[in-house]
Amino acid sequence: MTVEIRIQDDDSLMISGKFDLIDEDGNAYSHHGKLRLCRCGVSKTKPYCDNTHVEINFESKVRA
Amino acid sequence: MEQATIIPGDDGPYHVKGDFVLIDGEGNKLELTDETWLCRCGESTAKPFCTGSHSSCDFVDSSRAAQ
Repeated sequence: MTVEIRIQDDDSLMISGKFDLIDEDGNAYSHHGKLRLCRCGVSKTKPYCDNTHVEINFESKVRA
Repeated sequence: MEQATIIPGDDGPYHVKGDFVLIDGEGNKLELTDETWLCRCGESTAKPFCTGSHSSCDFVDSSRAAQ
């Protein structure tokens, strides 16, 4: 099943589907569903989004 | 194709591999690929892709996945 990675406007990456999040130590965490990953760089819970992008007025609207 | 994997690199981008698609804010697909590096420092000039900007903005994160 193809995983969707949505580059949300002024917002996080929304990952939808079944995938593994793997850290640099090689530990794999299976996910099935939706997960938001930080792309503004300022989340206090990286790699996850904690909505800090709103406070810093993160702007990025990617278009194909 | 292999199941998608996402690796948040220490002080660097997300390394994404496998069966995935990238979709923009309007729901359109970006170029198809089976491996890419996505910006997570917020400073790339070619978002969503990494341009190496994390090196010059002192982006630091080596946290570990916790779920």
